[in-house]
Amino acid sequence: MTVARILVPPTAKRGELVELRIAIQHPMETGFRMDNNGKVIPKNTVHTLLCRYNGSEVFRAEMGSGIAANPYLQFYIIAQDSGNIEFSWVDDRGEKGAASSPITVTA
Amino acid sequence: MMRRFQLLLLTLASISAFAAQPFRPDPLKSGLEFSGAEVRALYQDDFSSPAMLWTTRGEKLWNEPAGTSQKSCASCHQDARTRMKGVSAKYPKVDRGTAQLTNIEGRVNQCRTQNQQAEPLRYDSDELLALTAYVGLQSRGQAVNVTIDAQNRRNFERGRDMFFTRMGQMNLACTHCHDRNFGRKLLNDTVSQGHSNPYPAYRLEWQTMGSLHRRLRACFFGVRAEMPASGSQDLLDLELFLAWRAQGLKVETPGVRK
Amino acid sequence: MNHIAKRHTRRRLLTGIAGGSLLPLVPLAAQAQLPPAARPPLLELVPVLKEITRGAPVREARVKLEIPHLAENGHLVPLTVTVDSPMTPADHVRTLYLLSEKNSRPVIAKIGFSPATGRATLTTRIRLSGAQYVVAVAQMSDGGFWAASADVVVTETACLDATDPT
Repeated sequence: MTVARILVPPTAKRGELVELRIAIQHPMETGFRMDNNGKVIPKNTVHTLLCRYNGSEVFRAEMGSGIAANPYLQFYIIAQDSGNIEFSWVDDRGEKGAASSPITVTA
Repeated sequence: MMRRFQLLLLTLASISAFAAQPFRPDPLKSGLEFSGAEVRALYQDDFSSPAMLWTTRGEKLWNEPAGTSQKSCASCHQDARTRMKGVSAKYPKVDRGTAQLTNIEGRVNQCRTQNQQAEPLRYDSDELLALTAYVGLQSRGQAVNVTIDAQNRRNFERGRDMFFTRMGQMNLACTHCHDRNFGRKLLNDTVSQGHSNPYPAYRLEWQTMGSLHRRLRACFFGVRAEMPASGSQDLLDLELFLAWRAQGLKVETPGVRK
Repeated sequence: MNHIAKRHTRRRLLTGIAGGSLLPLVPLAAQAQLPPAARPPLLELVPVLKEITRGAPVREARVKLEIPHLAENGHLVPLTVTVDSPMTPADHVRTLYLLSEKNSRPVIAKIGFSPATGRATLTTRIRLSGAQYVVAVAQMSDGGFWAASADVVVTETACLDATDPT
């Protein structure tokens, strides 16, 4: 089960700068750790995260083992039109996750 | 002769006074007060806190059917936000049915095996941490409040004795760091009073959430003593003593620590 | 009279010593923020930068890197990067690289911005294996590279922990 939390303001004025935040529960395995039997735990990180605003990509993060466990990102977008802000991500094992939230933009 | 006898009585009295009321740090301070700016910033903003990923998951699990009964926690306990308010602040406590000292982890697993007819969750598994963190969150801000009575006095005394007993290659007791030296530096760390109020908590060192028992095991390892198993009677008794010792401090679950 | 004069001299002398003893603190305070000259050039610090810039010059301006100078734990170090850019279709930050001097994998993250983001600011949390420099490099829509660096001291925990339940 992938757990993520996103923070998108429910409303904004057109042209306003809005802050977006996302946190994903993921170990971001470096590939350098061993389990209690001395076996290497394979590298597994969320390697790509996309943010789409009404379908078009506005932000992208390519990450690796240098990003802390349970990756957290905070950035901005400009409110244009009402619609959806969608996040999607995939890790080295191919496991995908997504979360989205609506935003109402007023004049 | 009489004077000597009086002195003996006085000594005995002070020993029994110690037994009834062992030392507690004064004033009580949460470990957060000994934490650095980064840890405090992570804890103070609920969205920033990585621990909240576990409570989010805990909320989902609370409402998910489990085991052959296909009952969820919510089937019996309804809304955790109201029905679990203040519950974890009173743990560990003696279970009425088994007459055994039980902590929140034990209580969740008891519900799973007896009421849900599901497999118990492994200690420090993400699922058990999620559920205990979610239940604990409902007591956040409330004072730790356990009662020591005839039922749990033996547990309390065993936990207290463990706290004051030297152990391991370093020959240290809990009290040496957490009663006598809190606030002082150990390398770049500030020694805390060693309270249980933030657990389960997210530790930067673990890069994940962990139970109080995991934290206690780390302390045993720190003094190079044998680590009791998570969920063992030793750690349950110590947990009760720690709860008594933290009496009045506010529950911080899910906490954040270095 | 003579006696008083002597005392004055002694007081002056004591003040002088006290003042003098403060003097060495000044260069120490300056050392806390290493002057740029003490740091190796960016291409030596993070050789992976050569593959990113392919010979193009990197100017150390316009990028602000906020990161604690003394990190409590290398597993989670918060950082915020802000690039000074109007973020218009004609002039914006295309890519922001977070690079590490000493991690086994020097590229920490590669962030793609667009004019729709409005402001080229990113806050995240990184891992650092030991004390080192962190470098943030922005490539603008005109292809130019701008950068900032910061040295971070990563402290170790005092108590060892061997409780990994995995």
